[in-house]
Amino acid sequence: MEMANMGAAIGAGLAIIGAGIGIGILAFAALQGIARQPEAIKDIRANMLIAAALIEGLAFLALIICLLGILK
Amino acid sequence: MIVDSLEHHILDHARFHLNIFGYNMSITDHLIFITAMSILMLIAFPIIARLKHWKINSLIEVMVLFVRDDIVIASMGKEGEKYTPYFCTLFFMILTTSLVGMIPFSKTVTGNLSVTGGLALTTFLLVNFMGIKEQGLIKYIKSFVPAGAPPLLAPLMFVLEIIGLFTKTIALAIRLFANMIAGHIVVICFISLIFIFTQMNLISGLITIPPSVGMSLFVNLLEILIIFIQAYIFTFLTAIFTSMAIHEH
Amino acid sequence: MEHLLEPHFGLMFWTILNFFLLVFLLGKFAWKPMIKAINDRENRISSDISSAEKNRQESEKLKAEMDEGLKKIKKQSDKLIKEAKELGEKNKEEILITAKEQAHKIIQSAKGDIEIEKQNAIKQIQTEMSNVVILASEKLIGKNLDSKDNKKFTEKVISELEKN
Repeated sequence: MEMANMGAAIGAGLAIIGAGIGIGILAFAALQGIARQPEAIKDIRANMLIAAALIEGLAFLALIICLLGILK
Repeated sequence: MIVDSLEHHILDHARFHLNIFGYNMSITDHLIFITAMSILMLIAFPIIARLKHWKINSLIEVMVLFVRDDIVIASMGKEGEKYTPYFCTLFFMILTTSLVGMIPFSKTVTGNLSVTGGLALTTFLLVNFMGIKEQGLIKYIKSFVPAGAPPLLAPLMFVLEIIGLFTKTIALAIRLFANMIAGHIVVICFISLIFIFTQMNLISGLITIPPSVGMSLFVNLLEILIIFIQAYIFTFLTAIFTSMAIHEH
Repeated sequence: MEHLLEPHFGLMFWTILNFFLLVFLLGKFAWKPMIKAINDRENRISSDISSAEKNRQESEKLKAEMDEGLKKIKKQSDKLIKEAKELGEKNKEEILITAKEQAHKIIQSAKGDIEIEKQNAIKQIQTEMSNVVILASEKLIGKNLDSKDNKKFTEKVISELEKN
């Protein structure tokens, strides 16, 4: 009932913290690479988007599990 | 009221009920939508392939070349070119059905867990069948244990690889489903904010209109970008899994 | 809302069937011609590039050969021009010599003519002078010239004059 909803909400928040930190580190490394070698910007941007999508996929996995907790 | 609106926009409802062998195989809205989009693609793409002098031709050719050069050949090498039709179909199906879902009064087919689960199941079947066909059954099962592992850890790695096979498939399905549905839920919530505030007080409802509409516009634009990226990620991960199953270590 | 997260097996089955049918039909009618057209275009472009490269090399070789041929021809033409010039020089000298000889001859013949004319003129002057002398002596001597002695005397004077 209430505990399940609260647990699900807190779990979703923690999962998003993890995803945020992960993508932040990824963006930092990507920007450093672009600053060092501006002509590689195309390759770096493509790989950055791929890695960001994969990390976000895991965050969404956690979100779905939290939704399962709320809806059932 | 929000729950009603969500249920109306996101869930799919059965139109014709039919039961085969006790399974519930009713024809739902999303199924009608998928069939209509498939027929549209079956009509449009062969025409585009025959015509040579339209501008749309070069647009589709750019995307086909992108799938062939950056996804198929980059993962599987020159001999993987015979898989190009499958990956092209996968990429274009996810792209077009998700893009059509952005139009008002149409349903997002990929926002249904069953549909993305079905697509991920086809990836699962493709990976395993191609692995067994190229390497033979026994060698394929043996490839689950990476070469160069100490013999004590071999059973553990075997189990982990088998679990990883299923996990990767389910993650593929849930990633696409959650990305597509999250955009729609956020837009519906932003629009419903207006109605909630109006029920409290008329003035506050009118004040909420500009930020709410602006945020939902921004989220819509973001979602178009996410559609392209997610279609590419799905196809790319399928190509990676297939290449890992085909090539020996 | 809990139906959102429930997999519905009927829809899953229909989706898989639909997708395989789509792959089969689209692969046969749409992707194969498109990929064949793209491959043909790539092959044609690469063969065009290689044949253009070959043509360029051939044309360069041809140009080198033509340059050599031009050089040879230029050398030959130089030789011919030199020979023609020498021939012209020789002809000029010959013509000059013959012209000088001819002029010499003309001058000589002219001198001879002048001599003859001079003698003729001297003879004429002598006859005139003898006539004048006869007239003068007639006048001096009177009318004594009709005899023979006078004739002999005048002829002797004339022959002495002629000697002079």
